[in-house]
Amino acid sequence: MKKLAHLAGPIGLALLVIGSGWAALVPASIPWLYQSLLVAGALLATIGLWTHRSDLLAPAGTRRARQGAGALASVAVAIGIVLLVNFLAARYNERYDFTRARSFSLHPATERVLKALPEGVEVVGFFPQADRNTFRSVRILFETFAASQPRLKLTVADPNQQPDLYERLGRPGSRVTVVHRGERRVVLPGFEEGDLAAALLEVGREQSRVVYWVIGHDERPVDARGALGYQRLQSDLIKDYYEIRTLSLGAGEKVPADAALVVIADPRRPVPPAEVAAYDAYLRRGGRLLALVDVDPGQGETQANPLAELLERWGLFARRGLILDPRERTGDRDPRKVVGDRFPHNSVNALEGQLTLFPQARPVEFGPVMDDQQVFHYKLVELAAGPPGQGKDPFVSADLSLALRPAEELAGLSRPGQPPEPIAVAIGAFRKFTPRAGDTRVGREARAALIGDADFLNDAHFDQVANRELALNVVRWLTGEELLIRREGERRQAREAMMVSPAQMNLVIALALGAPIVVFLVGWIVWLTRRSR
Amino acid sequence: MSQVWAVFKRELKSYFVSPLAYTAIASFLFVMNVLFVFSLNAYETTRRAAAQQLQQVPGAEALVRDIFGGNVMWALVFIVPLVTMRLLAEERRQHTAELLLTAPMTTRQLVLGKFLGAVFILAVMLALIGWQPLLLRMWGDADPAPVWTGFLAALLYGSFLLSIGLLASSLTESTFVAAIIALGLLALVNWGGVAVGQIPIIGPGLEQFTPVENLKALVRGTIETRAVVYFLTMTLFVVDLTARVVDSQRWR
Repeated sequence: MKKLAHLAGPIGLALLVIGSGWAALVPASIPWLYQSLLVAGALLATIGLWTHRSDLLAPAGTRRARQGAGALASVAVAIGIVLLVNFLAARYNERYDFTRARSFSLHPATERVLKALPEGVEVVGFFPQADRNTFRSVRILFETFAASQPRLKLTVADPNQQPDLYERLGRPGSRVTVVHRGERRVVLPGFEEGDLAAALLEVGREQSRVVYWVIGHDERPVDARGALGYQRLQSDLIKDYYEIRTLSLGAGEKVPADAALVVIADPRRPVPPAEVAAYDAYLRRGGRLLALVDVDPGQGETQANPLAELLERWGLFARRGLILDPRERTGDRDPRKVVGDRFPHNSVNALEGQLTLFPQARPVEFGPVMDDQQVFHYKLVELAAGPPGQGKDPFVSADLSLALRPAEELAGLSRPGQPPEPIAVAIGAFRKFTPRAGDTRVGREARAALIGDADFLNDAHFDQVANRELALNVVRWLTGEELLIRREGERRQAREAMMVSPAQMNLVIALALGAPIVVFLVGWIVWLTRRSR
Repeated sequence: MSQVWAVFKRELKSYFVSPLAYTAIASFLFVMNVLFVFSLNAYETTRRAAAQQLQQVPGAEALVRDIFGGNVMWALVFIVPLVTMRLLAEERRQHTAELLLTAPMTTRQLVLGKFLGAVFILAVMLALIGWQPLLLRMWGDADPAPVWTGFLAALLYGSFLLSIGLLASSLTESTFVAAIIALGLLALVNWGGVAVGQIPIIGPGLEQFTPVENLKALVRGTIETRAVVYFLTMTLFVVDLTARVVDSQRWR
C-alpha cells in the first residue's frame, strides 16, 4: 500500500499531461475520457504530494532553499509579466506599412467596403493547416481586415481540426472562404482580398443584380470565347455576384424592371426606332446602359454606329478619328506602324520609339444633346489607369487622313514642348431622374457609358494594360457599386525586376570573398602585434 | 549607467585585441556573402525564365527580404555562440568573476554591459553586410523600406539570440560547453518555433510568439508593434535571467 502511495505522484502527473494534451489537441473527441484522466490525475498527484510532504518540507528552512524559492518566485513573476505584455501587444497590434507599393495594407477600395460594413458579418476561411504558407497568408490577411474593421469577425480554420464549425457552415469544402450574415452566405474559392471585399458587400445586399446583354442585331455574344466573345468579362462579373441574362426586346416591350444594367455590345445591324425608344425610356426611368461600339469609317453614318441615335440623345459621341500614341514607345519612325492586337503591353512599354497608330480604337466625347435641353452634370470618375510611367494623357486623337500622310509630316506631332491632348477611350454620362408621382425609384440617376472600341473588353484583350480594370469598374460605376471600384493606380506599383549583368556578378563575387578575407587579415595582424609585444 | 559603460568599454577592448571577434565577424561575412551570391544567382535565373514568358518577376526587395529574413537568421545561429561563449564562462574559468561580483556594481549592470558589448559586435557585423542591400538599391531600385526595417529586425533578433548565448555562457565555466549549450538553445528556439506552427488548432495562434515569425513580420518593410515588443521583452527577460543565474553563485 505504501509503495502504491509513492507511485501515485508520478502516475498522477502522467495522467495530467496526457489529459491536458488530449484536451488541447482533440477536445471534441471522447471528451469524457480526457476529463476523467484530468480528474484522476489531479487526485493521484494530490495523494503523491501528501505522501511526500515530509520530504518536500524538509529543506524549506535552509538559507539556500529560501534564496532559491525567492529567485524562482521572482522569475515566475517576470515570466508572467512578459507573457501578459506580449499577449496585450499581440491583441492590440499596430502595423506600419512603409513599403512603396503598400503591399501589406488593404487596398483603399477594401477599406471603403469595410467602413460601410453592416453588423453581424462573419468570415471563416477553411484551409489545411499542413499548408503552412497559405495558412499563414490567410491569417495575416484576416488580421489586416480585423485591424481595419473590428466589427468583422474572422476565423481561419482547418476543416479536419474544427469539424463542428465546418458542419455548421454547411461543409463548404477546403481552401474556400465563407462569408455570411444571417441566412445570406457566400462561398468563394481562395482568399483574394478583392474577392473577399466583393463578398462582404454581397452578403449585405437584399436582392441580386441582373445584367441584361442585348441580342438580336448581330451583337457580340457574351458567352463566346476568343476575339469576338466576352466570356472572361462574364466570368468576372459572376465573381462580382452579377447575374447575366440575354435580352431581346420585341415591339412595344420594355426593359425588365429588375435590370441593374443593360449592355449593348457592338450591334452590326440597325436597332429599330421602337427599341431605341425603349432603351431611352429605360434610361429616363433611372436606368443604366453600357454601349460598346466599333465605328467603322468605311461605312455610312447609320451602319458605322447603329447606336448613334440613342447615345447622342445622352450627349455621347463615338467619333471617326484615330488614336495616336505620341510618346514613341514602339520603336518605329513611321507613325502608321500598327500596334498589333496581340502585342504584349509590357513589350510596348519597354521600347523607346515613335508615334504609333491604333487603327481600331475610336475617340469618344461628350457633345450637345439632341432632343431636350436638360442640363447634364459632368464630373470625372477615374475608373482605370494605364501602367505606371505613362502619365495621365498618353494618347491623342487625330484625323483619319493622317494615316495617308508621309512620315516626315507626322513626326512633327511629337515635338518636345507640345504636350499631347488627353483623349477618352471610354466615357460616361449621367443625369438625375426627375421623379413622377408614385415612382419608387425617386432620385435614382440615369447612367450611360460608351466605350470606343468593343475589342477593349473581349477575351483577347481583357488582360492587356488596364482593360480588365476598365471593364469591371465601368460596370461597378454604372450599377452604383462605387465601393467596389478598385484602381491599381490608387496603389503605387512595385518596381521592375532587377537585371544583373555578368560584370556586376563578378563584382559581387569579388566583394563577397574579399570582405571576410580583409577582416580576417586585420584580426591576424592584431593578434601578431600583441604577441610580439 | 557609468558602471555599465565601463563594462561595455572593457568588453569591446577585449573583443578587438583578441582574434576571436575578427574570426566571428569574418565567418559571418563569409557565410552571408556566399548566401547572397547564391540568392542573386537564383534570382537572375528566375528573372530570365520569367522574362521569356512575359511573366512578372518580384522586384529586388524580394532579395532584401531573403538577406534579412533567411540568410541572417541562419548565419546568426552559428555565429552568436562564437561571440558569447567566453563572456561569462571565461570570467568563471579565470576566477575573475569573484572580483567583478565584489566590484561596486550590481550583477545586472555587469551582465548588461557585457550584453551591450556583444550587441555592438552584432551591429558591426550587420553594418559590414550593408553593401548587399546597397547594391540592390543601386542596381534594382529596391524598395528602401525592407532595407531599414530588415536592419532593425536583424538587430532585434540578433540581440535576442545574443541574450540566449549570454545565458548559456553563465551556466558553465567552459567556453566550449557554453558554445555547445548556446548552439543547442538557439537551434531549439529557431526550429522549435517552426515546429510550434504545426501543432493542431493552437499552433497558428502560438506561432506569433516565436522569434522566426516575429522576424518575418519586420523584414517585409513593415513595423509591427507586437514584434518589436516581443523582441524587447524577451531579450530583457533573458538578460535579467542571466543576471539572476550569475547572482545565484553567491548563495549556491
